[in-house]
Formats: sequence, structure tokens, C-alpha cells
Amino acid sequence: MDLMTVITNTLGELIAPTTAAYALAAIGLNIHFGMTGLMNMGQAGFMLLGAYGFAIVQMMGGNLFASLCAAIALAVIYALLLGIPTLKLGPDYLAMVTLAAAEIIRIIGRSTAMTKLTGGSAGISPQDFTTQFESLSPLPNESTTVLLWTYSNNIADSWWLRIVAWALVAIAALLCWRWFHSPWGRVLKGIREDENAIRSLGKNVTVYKMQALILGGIFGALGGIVFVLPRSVQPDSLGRAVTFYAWTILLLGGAATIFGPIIGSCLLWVLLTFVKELMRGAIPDTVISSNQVESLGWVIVGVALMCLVIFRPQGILGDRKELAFNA
Amino acid sequence: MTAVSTQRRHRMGLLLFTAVFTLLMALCITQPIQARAAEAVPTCNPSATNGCVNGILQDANKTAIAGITITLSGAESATTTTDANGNWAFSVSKDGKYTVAMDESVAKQHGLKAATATVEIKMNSFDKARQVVRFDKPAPAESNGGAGSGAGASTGAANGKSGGSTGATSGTAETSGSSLGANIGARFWQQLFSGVIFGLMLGLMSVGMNLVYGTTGLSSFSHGEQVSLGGLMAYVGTQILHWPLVPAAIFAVAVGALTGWIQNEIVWAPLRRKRVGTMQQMIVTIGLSMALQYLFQFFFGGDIKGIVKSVPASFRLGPVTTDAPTLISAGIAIVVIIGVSLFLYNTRLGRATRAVSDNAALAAASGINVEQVVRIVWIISCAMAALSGVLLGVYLNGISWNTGATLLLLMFAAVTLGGLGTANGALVGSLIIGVVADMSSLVIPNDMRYASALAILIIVLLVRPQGIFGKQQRVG
Repeated sequence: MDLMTVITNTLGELIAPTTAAYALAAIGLNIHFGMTGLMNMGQAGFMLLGAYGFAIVQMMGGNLFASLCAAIALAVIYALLLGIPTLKLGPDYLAMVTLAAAEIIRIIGRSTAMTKLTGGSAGISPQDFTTQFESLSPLPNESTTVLLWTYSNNIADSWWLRIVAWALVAIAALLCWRWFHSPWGRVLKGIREDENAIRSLGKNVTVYKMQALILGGIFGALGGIVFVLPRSVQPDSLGRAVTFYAWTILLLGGAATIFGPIIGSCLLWVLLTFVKELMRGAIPDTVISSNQVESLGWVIVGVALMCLVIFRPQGILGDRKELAFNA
Repeated sequence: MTAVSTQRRHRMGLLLFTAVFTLLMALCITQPIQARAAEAVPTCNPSATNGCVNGILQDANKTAIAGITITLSGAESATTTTDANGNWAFSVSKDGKYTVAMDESVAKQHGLKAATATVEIKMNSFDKARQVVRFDKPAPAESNGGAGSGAGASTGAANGKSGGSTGATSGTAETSGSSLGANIGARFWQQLFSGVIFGLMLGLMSVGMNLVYGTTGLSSFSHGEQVSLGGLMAYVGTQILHWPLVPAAIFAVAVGALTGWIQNEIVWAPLRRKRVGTMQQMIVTIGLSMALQYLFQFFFGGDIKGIVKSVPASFRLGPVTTDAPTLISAGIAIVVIIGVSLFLYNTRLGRATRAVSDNAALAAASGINVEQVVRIVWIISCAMAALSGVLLGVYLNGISWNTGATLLLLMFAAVTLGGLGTANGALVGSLIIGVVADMSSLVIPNDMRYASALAILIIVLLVRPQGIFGKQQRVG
């Protein structure tokens, strides 16, 4: 086993675009759950819609700005459709509806009848939607080595994508920090803890919840775009599991904190990659195959999620006293 | 005033939602369905737009032959390799004659009487939409050794005339159109039948899930994994330990019941004692679901595991084609569901269970041991899930690591439709969901049929969130 490769691969996850994508999705989820107490179990639906919106407009020849707008518009419409009927019902209803709706989007997206638009289950391949984004890069067309990592400057899983992705994460964190401490954010926190108290103060709770759902959904859609840029738009890669990953990240880092989702995402992926690489290196392929290592990684995430909720619901950064959920 | 406006907004939301949803659906239908080439698939289900050529490659002793290349030629062509159980399937999109072939030497080596077989696919004829190919008969010039094709000759021929003129020559889109018109009756009954069977199996799962919800308030996301567990344990029994099916099924149900008991003892009971909220418990079930699901994948791999290997002989029953294992599975499901209802309504423990569902604190105050009741409910619920996994595995010719996970949302839909916490409601909900999911493939593409069931879930939540049998005041 080459320890250096393990360490390089592991630390590579720290700055990987996928880590940033999950951080964005978890930031969105943090607005939903950490700020407002909404149980959104379908963040992957927002991500998939964002990815489809972006990629399809790119395929049809729209420019980057139009694609981005399309992705955001889809997320807003989706949030409205989900929110208008369900936000008045109990929290478990929103959980079920978001879960089901995300699944509907995935099923329709991968259906053979939609092959013309979404590519069916094979999805949309990267050359159809990443060229404009890659040509926007100011970096020269070569690969660069920084410290341990060597990546291409512009193509696919590139430095350019990393810069943009983490810039997005930084902007999202900054916005969240502003929002959390604004009067608007305080109302959301009030709704999270006691909806009726806020209603009795004359606030329109449903409207606030809707605003939170839309904003979180937009971050989810942006996360979806970052998620698909280094690979292809494949509906099955943005299924239920992605939502559950995002939840694990959020609860690991700490809900209702600014840096929780980012730290959670980095930590989860670094640890998971490290464990997987170690298993791949240390255990011969005949005992546990590479595919089985992949499944074991999932098992670890599942068990981690269970243990987090049972033993440390506030995560790493959270304040146990802040959320009623943690009690 | 506020009430009125709220209600109106509610309506508006509903309207908007349904309108957009219908639009989406319409979009999917009007999309010209491209004639796609034949493709190799793990399992194949015939629909208006695709037919199936499939089979299980076995030698004379009924042992699966894995890793054999099978080629399809004729109206369309493709290649596949048989899996560990000898299963292979092609999904085809054109009517016509197909020849399935494998290497002559392989056929000889395994004592098969033929290396090629020719079948005819007619997508709009329900007994010719799927052709099961067997290589254990000497091949005449043309043989459609399909398990169910001989029986329905008269219908097949009649449909052949109407479908043959349009179907064979024109594109697939037109074929699906004509099949909707000419053959809707036959397909209607067949889909209704399979919908009811599927609904019964879904009922077994969701009645148990609903009992757990009723007594503990927990919507368990890991219930799907209990279903997969049952099927996979039956697979272990029949294919690894080489037991007959019945002991294997009993073994699977016992393992299911045991896991129900164990998880209640080590996870849920301590959490309830710590007064952890149901939302937190729900997230724990999500973690458990992920862990179990990938543990199955770890041990059993990603492919479909067949519980029984032989292809059962099918026969006609009124307007539908079926086979004995399907009817027996449905019978078992009905008996078990009736048994559980009798238990709930006619025994002391059953009455205690319903009392706990109704009001746990009051039940405890009147001397009912709530923990005991919840323990039994967990055991029953997981045992039923395991049983449904076995039946589903037999009915669908196999079970895989994520079978239960894909059904989880349908269970939620069924339980919500019937009314959360009402045992009989779950059964009615399941039947409706099963029938809708299978019948919807008459009008929307087959691979979208689960979406229609989930759409029902959403619409029910909008119109009548307490479900058909639920009590009005429950909903906040």
C-alpha cells in the first residue's frame, strides 16, 4: 500500500468540487432545517432540477447566465409547488412530500420517454453542457500542481471548477451569516422553536417558511450544478441517497451554524475517502472487492447518521441548547 | 375571513400543483417516443412501447449457466451475458420475429437441445409482448416456446390481425397508439390483476408499517430494508442452503421477526425511554435504512437474486394469464392480512394494540403494558415485511438489495392514503396504490408508473391529509 497516494487522494477530497457541491446543498438544508425547522427530505430533487435546468439550457445553446437563471427559476417554482400546499401541514407531511416529489423528478427524468430532453437514465454527457463554463476560465490550458494536488486547469474536474465552486460556497456562507443575524433570520428561528408564538406576534408564518424553502432550494440547485459539472447529469446519481448524505453532513457539522455544513462536508468526505482508501489498500481484493468497499462506505455513513442523532444531535459546532431538536 | 382566504389559497395551490403536474405528464406523453434499439436489461417488463424477450439459461438438471453470451437478432439486435442465476433479458421496441442464439458448443456442453430459438413479439398482444425462450426443446424452423403463449391462441390471433397491419410496419409510437385502442380491454384486465396482486403484497408491508406508526408515532424508513431482508433470507435458504421453498420462507419470516425484536430492544425502546422525539427517531431510521441496504449489497452484491429458478407454467384464468406461484402468494397474503385483522379485533392483545394506537397514555393508565404491546407490534410488523419480501421475490422472480428501498415510498403512499395509524386503511390504500401503479402503465410509459403512485400520495396530502379512514382532528 502506498501511504502517500492514500493521503493525497484523501486530502484531495478536502477541496474537491463534489465536497463543495454537498456543502452548498447542506447550506440550503441548513436554511430549511437549521433556521426554520423544515424537514426537507428531498434536497436531491432541488439539486437534480438545478442540474437539469442548467444542462438543458446549455444544450439548447443558451448562455451561462440564462442557464443559471433557468436552474434557479426551476428551483423557485418547485419550492412554490411543494410549499404552497404542505407548509400548513405538520412537519412529517413536508418530509414525505419532498421525498416523494424528489423521487418523481428522478423517475420522470430517467424515463425513456424523456430521452430527447434529459437523456433518460444515461443522462446528459459533459461535452453537451460544460464547454461554455470551461471556456470562461481565465487560466491557461494546462495542468498545475499546487502542494500535493495536480489537476487540469480547465477541463472537467479542474482547478477552475474548484475556484468557482468554493467561491460559491463562500458567498453562500456569507449570505447565511447575514441572514442568520438579521431580523428576518430571527423570525425564522422563532418559527423553528415555536410557530404559534410567532403567529401570535402577527407574522405570516407560511410566507416566512416559503421564503426559507425557496432560498434553501436555490442553494440546492446551485449545489446540483456544481455536482454535475465534473461528471454528467445522471438522474440516478442524484437520488435519495444524496439527500441523506446532505443530512448527515448537516448534522455532523452542526445545524443552525454558519460553518457547520462546510466543515461537515469536508470532514465526511475526507474521513470516508480515507477509510475507503485504507480498506482498498490494506485488505486484499479477494477478501473484500472494490465494490464491497464502496458499500461499506455507505454503511459507515448510515451508522454515523444514527449515532449522531442519538449521541450528539448538535454535531461538531452546534449549540445543544439552541435547537429544540437537540433536546 | 382569514379562514376563507386561507382555504382559497389552499385551493389555488392545489390547482396550480395539479395543473403543472398534468402538464408535465402530458409533456411526457406527447414526447414522440423514439423507436429505440433493443437493449440488454437485468429484468424486463413489457409495456405499450416495449416487448420482452427473456429467459433463464439452465442445463438439463436445472442448474443455472452463468456468463454465457446470448445474441438477439431479427427486427432488432443486441447482445447480453447471462447473470449468476442464468437470467437474461432483452427489451425490444419493434414487433416482429427475433432469433435468440448462443454458441453451439455451449449448448452441447450443457446438454441443451437447441442453441437458437425464434420468437415473435407483438407488443399490443398481451400474451405476445413477453416471450420466454427455452433451449430445452429441439428447435424447429420456428418455435415460440413461450411459457404462456400457447394457451391464448384465439385472442392472440384475433389481436394479431388488428395489430399486424399497423404494428409490424409502422413506427413504435403508432403501435402504442393502436395498442391503446385495439387492445385496451385485454391489457386492462391483465394490469388490473397484477395491480391487485402487487397491492396485496404492498398491503402486507404497509399494514405492519402502519401498526408501528400507530403505536409509536414513528414513520420507519427502514421498513423497506425489512422487506429486502425477507426476500434475501429466502434466497439464502433456497439457493445457498438448498432448502425447499417453504422452510426457506419460514426461516426468512423468523429472521424478520427476530430483527424486529432485536431492533426494538437495542434501538427504539432506549430511544423512547430517553424521550427522543419521533422526528429524530425518523432520522435514525434513515441511517439504519442506509446501513442495512448497503450491508445487503456488501453481502449479496448488486444483482437480482432469484429465489426459485424454474419458470412456472402459466395458464389462463378468465381474461388474465397467471401462474400458480402468483395465485398462492396472493392467497397467503390475503390469509395473513385477515389473520392480523382478526388478531386486532378479536383478541385481548389486539384490542390492547388498538388502545395504544388510540391513546398510549390512556392505555398505560388503564393497565396495558405499552412497552409489551410495542414489542409485539415490532415483531409482527417485521415478520410481515419479511413474508412480503419472500412473496414478492417469488412473484417478481427475484429480489435485490434495493427492492425494498424502491417500494418504501409506495408504502408511505399507501399508508397515507389509507390514513396514518389505521390498520385496515393501509390495506385499502395499498390496493389502490398497487392498482394505480400497474394500471397507469396503460397510459404513461412503464418506467414512470411508480411516479403516478407518488403523485397520488401528494394529491391525497393536499385534498385529505388524514387519508380515507383517518380522523379529521389529527392533522395540524
